[in-house]
Amino acid sequence: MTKKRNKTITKLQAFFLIVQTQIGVGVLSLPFDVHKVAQKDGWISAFIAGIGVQLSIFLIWFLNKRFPSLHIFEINQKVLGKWVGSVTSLFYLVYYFGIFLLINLLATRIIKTWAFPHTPSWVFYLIFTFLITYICIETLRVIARFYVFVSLFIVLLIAISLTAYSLVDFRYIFPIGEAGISNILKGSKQVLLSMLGFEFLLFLYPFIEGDEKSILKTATLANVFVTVLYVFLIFTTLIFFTPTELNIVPEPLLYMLKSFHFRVLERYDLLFLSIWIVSVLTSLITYFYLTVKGMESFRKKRSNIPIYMLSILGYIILTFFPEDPFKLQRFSSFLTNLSYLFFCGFPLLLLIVSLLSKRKEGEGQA
Amino acid sequence: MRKLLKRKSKKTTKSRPYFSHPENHEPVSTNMEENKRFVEEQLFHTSDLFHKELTFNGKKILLLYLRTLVDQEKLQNFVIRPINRTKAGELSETINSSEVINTSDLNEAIVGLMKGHCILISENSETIYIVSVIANKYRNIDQPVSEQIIRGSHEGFIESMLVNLYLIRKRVENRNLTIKYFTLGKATQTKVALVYVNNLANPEIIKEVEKRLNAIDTDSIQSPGFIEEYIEDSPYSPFPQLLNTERPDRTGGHLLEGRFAIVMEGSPTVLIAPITLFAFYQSPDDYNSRWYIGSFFRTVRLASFLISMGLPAIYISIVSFHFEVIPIDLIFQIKNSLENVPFPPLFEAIMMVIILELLREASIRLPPSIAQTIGVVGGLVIGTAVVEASLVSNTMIIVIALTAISSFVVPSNEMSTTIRLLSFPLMIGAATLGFFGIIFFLTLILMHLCKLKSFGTPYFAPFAPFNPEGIKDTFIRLPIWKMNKRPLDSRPQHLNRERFSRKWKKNDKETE
Repeated sequence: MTKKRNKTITKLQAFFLIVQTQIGVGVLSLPFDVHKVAQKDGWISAFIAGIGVQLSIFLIWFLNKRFPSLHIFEINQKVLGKWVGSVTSLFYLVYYFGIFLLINLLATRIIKTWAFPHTPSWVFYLIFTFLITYICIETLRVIARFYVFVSLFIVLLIAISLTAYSLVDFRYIFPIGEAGISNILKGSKQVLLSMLGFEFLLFLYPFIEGDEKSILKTATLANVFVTVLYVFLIFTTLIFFTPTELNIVPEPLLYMLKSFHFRVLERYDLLFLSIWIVSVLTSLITYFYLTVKGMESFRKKRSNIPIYMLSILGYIILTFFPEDPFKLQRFSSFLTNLSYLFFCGFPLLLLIVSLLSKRKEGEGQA
Repeated sequence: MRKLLKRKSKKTTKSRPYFSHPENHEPVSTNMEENKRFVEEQLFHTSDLFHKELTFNGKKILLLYLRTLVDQEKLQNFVIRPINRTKAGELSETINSSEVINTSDLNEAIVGLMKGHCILISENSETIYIVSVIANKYRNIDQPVSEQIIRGSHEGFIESMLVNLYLIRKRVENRNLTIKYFTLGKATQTKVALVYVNNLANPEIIKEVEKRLNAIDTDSIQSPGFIEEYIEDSPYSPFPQLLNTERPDRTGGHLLEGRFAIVMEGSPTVLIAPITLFAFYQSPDDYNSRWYIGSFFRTVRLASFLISMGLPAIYISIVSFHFEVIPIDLIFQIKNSLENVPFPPLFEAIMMVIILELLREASIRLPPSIAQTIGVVGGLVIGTAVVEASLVSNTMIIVIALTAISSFVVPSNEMSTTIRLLSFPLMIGAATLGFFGIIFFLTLILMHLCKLKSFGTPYFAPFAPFNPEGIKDTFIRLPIWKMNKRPLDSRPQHLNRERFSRKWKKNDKETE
């Protein structure tokens, strides 16, 4: 028998934990990436991606419903047995750590291109690593409190983006559906990558207060929020820039803000970037925290030393990573393609195995 | 690592405290002289130990007291005169005092002497009478200088614990108000009182603070600051985790929100916990004025929090990294004033902040008449001369002056110092990474605030964890009749505190 886990975070906190993990490094370049494929119908792609995410949330929910007090690392062992389960957990752990490294690399690259071209990257890695380690040695509840508070910044991000509406032309998105269904679907794949983070639910599920249905509702609400936000951002950039302009601006949101001038403040993009950093930090914290929890599932005793070791290891890998944009690109696409396996493949496998073997929580381990 | 921990735990084994009072029972001898000699030896023939021989029931009685602690008049009126007048009868009935203890333990008698009691040793008797004749010497109940307000009560705590407890009891006339005495410090034997409202304060928190108070093992407690450092949750945090106040009204208000107060003999400062960050920004004035005004001043105060912490950092990051953020006309102005200054902005700022702290520190300890001179010399002469000598730019003077003023807005002195201290790393962050440095450091502070706990309750409530009900009394102050619930952070036993006080309004409408 597994001991009853105490439910430590509220539904509101769970909502923001998921939302903050999803919104991260991808937001800035999202409209550009989507526009490359889906052209002026990028916003439809975002909707479709949202639906895809919702399906995955259903899958994760079905899996976790069968094991209401276990998180992913424990489900692995429960369903697949001790050895195979451990290997699967290890895969998850490495994947989470990889995503953590990737976000670090991408965020630092954007900061360097936009604000500090001459500052060496290791400075930023060091700051990120320090901040993340500082909060990851705490409980999930503290992290949740932090996330809820910094969600104030999302409102600010939306408010800043709203200023664009004084200079838009709605004709840019017409005719709707010109790109064709296959391109729109391909575009939604691009959006899906920016939506990664909802799979946090795999781990979060047993900690959320409330019954199964309200957890599903919370996760769905988070997904709806992020989808609508992305549609809004993509839509705004699509009607702000002409289609030809959009082809040459890799971070459209920043370029858009850069063009605004007001009496009191100029260069809104710097303000936006500074706030965006916090959103990136929250995603980083989630993935580092998941890695830490994955490690802890292998050992009984809880101690902070492995966390410090992990952060030092992460820092060393980051500093030795080649500063070659193409290698980064390859690493990025490799990990994002791999991610399907982790938010869809493995959960599906686990669900099927547990259904076939009729294994549910509370029954003896094989 | 594990070995290190083990070694540490070994170190903490108790050594016998050399200040502990002898607890053994020292029987009173029937020989009066022998008793007197014992007391004198125990007090090392201290010069302020006076004795006087009286006769009662035809027997000799020896009166012993410490001249420095005893009120002569009380001694004369309550002890000596009644004995001399009655001459015979029961001794304990003759003495005119509410506190007469009889004991057969000489050590207890000596403890009594130290407390300002006098002891009566009779001839051929094994009983000693201890009578309280302590001198009450303390100042009047004045307005606390550090926490002045415009309207409302002008009472303040003083150095006597009894008077302070009286002030609290008078404000909270309730049978649930509980006072528990503790004696801390082996040498000083400082009396400390834990005050709470029994049916409001969370019993777990009270148990926790009792545990922490009982764990204190030290020779002396000089001030509430000692207690604070012994019992606070995170001793390395820059933020104060217990609220210091000298105001009975503030203490009463917090007690009725389910918190506890620690009153110490010899200090007008009372410690209140568990507390949140926002309690440091509340002042009784907010509740005495109309709620718009109260809310406005709250907002101003919280703005002062951000200004005093962030303004120099933002200025530094703008002039050293992000000139493009400010409008172009302003750039020329600022560039102009920076033209002749040879130092980097961070150096300028730190120099000015240090000058400011010097002035502040100097004026605290000077008599008011000289402190004014400091103000003139420091503020006017240095301020203008430093700019004319182009050591510091004009705008930097404005920024630092604003920062200083806003840091003084905070109603709590500890918090104001904390914030000024936190502005230093923020400035360094701004000077190295601009806006990003500021954001990184602010995030760190925010994480720290989310982590921080005051007696197990979240310090940054009601924002983290977020509680919309609690926001009514943070950076705004809604009308009192809207605040129906006590704040959640102190986990009180009963949440409702206000019901439908304005029901007459509805009745009025009906009769119209």
